Amino acid sequence: MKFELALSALLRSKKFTLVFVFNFALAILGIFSLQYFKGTMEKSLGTKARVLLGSDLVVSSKFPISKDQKKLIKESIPAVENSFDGVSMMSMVSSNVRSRLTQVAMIENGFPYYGGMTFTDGSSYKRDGQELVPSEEEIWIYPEVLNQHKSKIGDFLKIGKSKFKVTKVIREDSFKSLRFSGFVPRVYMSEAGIKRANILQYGSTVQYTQNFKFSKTFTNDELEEVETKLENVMGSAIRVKSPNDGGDRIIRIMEYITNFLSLVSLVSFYLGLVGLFYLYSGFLEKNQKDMKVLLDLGVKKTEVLGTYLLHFLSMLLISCILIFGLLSFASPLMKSIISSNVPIEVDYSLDIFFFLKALVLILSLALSLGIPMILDKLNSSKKSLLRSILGYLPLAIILIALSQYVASVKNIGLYFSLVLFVIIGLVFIAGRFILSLFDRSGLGERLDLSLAFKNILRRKNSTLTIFLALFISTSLFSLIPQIGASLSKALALSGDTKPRFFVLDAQESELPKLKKSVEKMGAQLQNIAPMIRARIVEVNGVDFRDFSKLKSKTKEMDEDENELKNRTVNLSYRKGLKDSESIAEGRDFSGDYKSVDLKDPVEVSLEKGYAQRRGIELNDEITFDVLGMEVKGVIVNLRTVDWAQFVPNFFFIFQDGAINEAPKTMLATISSAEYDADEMMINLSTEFPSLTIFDVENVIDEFSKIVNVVTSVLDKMSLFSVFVGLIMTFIIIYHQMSIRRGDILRLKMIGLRIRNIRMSLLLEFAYISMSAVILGVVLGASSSFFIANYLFEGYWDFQLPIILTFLIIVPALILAVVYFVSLKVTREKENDLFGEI
Amino acid sequence: MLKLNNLSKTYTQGEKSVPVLSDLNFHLNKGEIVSIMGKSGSGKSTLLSLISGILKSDDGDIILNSKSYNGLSEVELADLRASHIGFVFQNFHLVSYLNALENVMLPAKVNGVTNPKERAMDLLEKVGLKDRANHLPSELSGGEKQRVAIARALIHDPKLILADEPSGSLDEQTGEEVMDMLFELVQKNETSLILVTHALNVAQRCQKIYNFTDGQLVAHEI
Repeated sequence: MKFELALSALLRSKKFTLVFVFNFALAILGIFSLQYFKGTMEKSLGTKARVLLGSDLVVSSKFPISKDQKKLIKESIPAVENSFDGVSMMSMVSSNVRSRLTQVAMIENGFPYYGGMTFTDGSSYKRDGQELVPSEEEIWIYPEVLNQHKSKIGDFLKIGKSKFKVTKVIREDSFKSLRFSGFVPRVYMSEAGIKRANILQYGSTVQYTQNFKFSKTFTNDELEEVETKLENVMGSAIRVKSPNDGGDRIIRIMEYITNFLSLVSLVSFYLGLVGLFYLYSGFLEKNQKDMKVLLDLGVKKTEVLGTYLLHFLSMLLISCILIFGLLSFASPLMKSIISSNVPIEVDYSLDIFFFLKALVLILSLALSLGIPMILDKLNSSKKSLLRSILGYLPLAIILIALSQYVASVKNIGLYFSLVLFVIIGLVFIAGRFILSLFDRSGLGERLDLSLAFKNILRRKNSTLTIFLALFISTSLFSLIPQIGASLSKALALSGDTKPRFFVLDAQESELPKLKKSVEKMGAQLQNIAPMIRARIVEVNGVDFRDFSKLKSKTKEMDEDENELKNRTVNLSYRKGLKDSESIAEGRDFSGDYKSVDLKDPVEVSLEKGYAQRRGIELNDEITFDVLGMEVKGVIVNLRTVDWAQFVPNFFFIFQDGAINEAPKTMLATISSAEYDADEMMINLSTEFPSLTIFDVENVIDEFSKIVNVVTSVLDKMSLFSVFVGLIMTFIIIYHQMSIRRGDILRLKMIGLRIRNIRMSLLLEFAYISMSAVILGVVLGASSSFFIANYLFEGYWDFQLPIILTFLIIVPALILAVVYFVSLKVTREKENDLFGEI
Repeated sequence: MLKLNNLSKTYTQGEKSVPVLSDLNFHLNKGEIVSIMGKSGSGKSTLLSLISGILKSDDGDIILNSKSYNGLSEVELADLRASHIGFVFQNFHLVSYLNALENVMLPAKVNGVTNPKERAMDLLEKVGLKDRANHLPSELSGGEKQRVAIARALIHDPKLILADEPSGSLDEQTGEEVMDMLFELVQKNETSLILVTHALNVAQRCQKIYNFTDGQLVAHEI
């Protein structure tokens, strides 16, 4: 019987069923599709991170890794399927034209374990199963190297003692990442080739690596745990890297986006849930008489509960099936759209577990929301507010768990849901008290105003629910576009500032000449910055060079200090901040450094993200070894850097005047313009032999493409959450109007004019919506600031147009809806009041 | 005071026309108290709706206090209703978010009656609910709600009260008390009363009883 009753309820109220299904479909569209996208994206990003590393784990050292060290490493890591001992170094590469210092890296059959290369001749290495590496006499090179030496395939280049034939020019290298060091042009040769070149000499600056592929497949987070464990065992002697250390800009940005989209999907879901609650509450109210009739006829309460629960669940399932169908249908299309715009292999294969998890969620929701709603209507005695709230406790727990699952990064989902529930509780408790304070008996001079206030003050649950729904909706849908706009702005790459070349290893004395040469070709030399190599040797009194102390301290040292030990860093110096920077904490430099002989600590500005990752705080003292000279620095500010602008920047910036005389090289960018890029490269290489120039156009274009797609997604998702929020608000208003029908008819019967009745409704909703919207916008804007700082490394930009838009448009829209819905209700005939006589 | 001349009203259900009132004639004098009885669905609520000005007749005319309904707009009819008619319903129909005092004050405020609050308190005292003035309808018993409704119906000195089964939702004793109160106040104010009821004992308290049959009102003298 339950099933028949539920079915007849579905069929009888077709309009309601359609509206309900549509509403819930909207609510879950965001969360399901974004979870699906996020799941596939995280998987792909994880794979990309692994491809950039080439293996599961890499151990590196400036010195050859000893047998003892290898043994210790082997004992500390999981079972290895394959490993590769690699080397890379800077070595002179010579041709008839010139000699240039170039990075030379060893490659071996089977390595890298992830990723590979494609070449200009159309062939590939490790991409289509091809595994052969260059022979003893061959080299594979980057196009920049080819251009620098004015060479072609088949020509010979001298490396070390021997000459090598250029057999392949690399078009795509999976090791090439979107960070500064990832751009350096490279030469690949075999182990035999390196031996033949005899470039591994005492004094060479070499990087020795051990690359591991484990027998078991681990997640990137699990690999990070292995990394940490190994670092604790090995100490400062070696560096360990796992895929999460990638630092690739694309990966970082895609992670931002998925975090943001998680939050958006959660917001849309919560808004949708509010609408769902209102819709079904309204339905149950209309059917309350039917329920009573069933009970009076002898149907058990549990049966009636079961009937309506089944009805509720059926509609939720219909929504689910629709959305699942849409996702399944759209996934091949999504794959082709995203693959053509994002240089990441995205796997859109449908995972049955995804759907099963979703169904479990739907069932839990149905029970935890449906049961208290239906019981409220079934029970004849009125429950206290507290008991009503406690009835929804299972729902609150499920929502908290869901929020944490959806947006688990830095527990933002958990905090979001907890804050939401706290706000709800506070608004109800404080709201009821405040409304009681203002309640007075009697009707004022203006009847419509009096009626509006009476409705506000006396329908406390209704007022507070509308207020809360509008307040939360407005704060959420002013928060989302605020963050989205900030992120979009941060990621947007201005065409004017896009560089074409990065220039390294320029001498300071060469700069004026270099500038002239670049300008002669129609470009600009920009973002000139000095670069000084240094090592961090002491942090807040802990001297990494004192090995005895170090040994005993190692066990107590936290991860941050471990990271900093003897770390080589690139320093620069400047007078102050650039336009693309801002001080997050602390103060600007107090002018040029004036102390003699570096007696006083130098003021240092540190990039905020780096500081957070390494555990460095304001006023920390760090001692640097600058090419043999100790320089003590104190962190005076943490600054945010617009890394998306693709201009050289440094984590550590010193006060001007302290290390200006230290040996340095200069780096800069060459702007994009209408010139022959090959000619630029060749001319500058000829005129400035020590200069390193590399073409970043393809990489930046790739990045720009992604950013364009991503900002479009951000904007659309922000709009989606706004759209969902508005739909929910309208549902609430419609529901409110329908439950006031009786009172409206009574007022009409007594003789109150329709326009006065409508005015009282408009006034009532105007007061509630304005107060809710103002508070909501304030909360949304301030929350967006904190969330942006917490999740997105401070990319936040106050968007006044967004604030003003919501302050004006939302109340206007609400009043428009109230007006149009009230037209319908106030036109109904009062003779309904006479009833059956 | 109230004249219904050749009143006709027909409802259309699909292709079928259902005549509810057929050439009905009725006359009510000032201060007269009459009851209307009839089977459910006979058209009593349609008659009340027509007298209230909520519905318009297909034919005929209604004249209330020398004012003809024909030619009046909806707004004018609403104004006429507001100033001349008071209502007492079976289900009380008090405005849920206004307390007893405010519910009684409402018609007075609509009609611009002076000192509405004092008049309302006075009426509430007459119906024995002065100490319940600040209570919302949800806090009142059935009998109390109906007494508030009676006070509300009288505050603006209407010429006519339309009472639709006023004791229908009350127990016998309370119903009697409410009816006593209604009759007492109506007679005191010389207000005409049309009382629709199924209860013969209530009908018999009126000066005239009308039966609503086949679209016509047929009088029975008591």
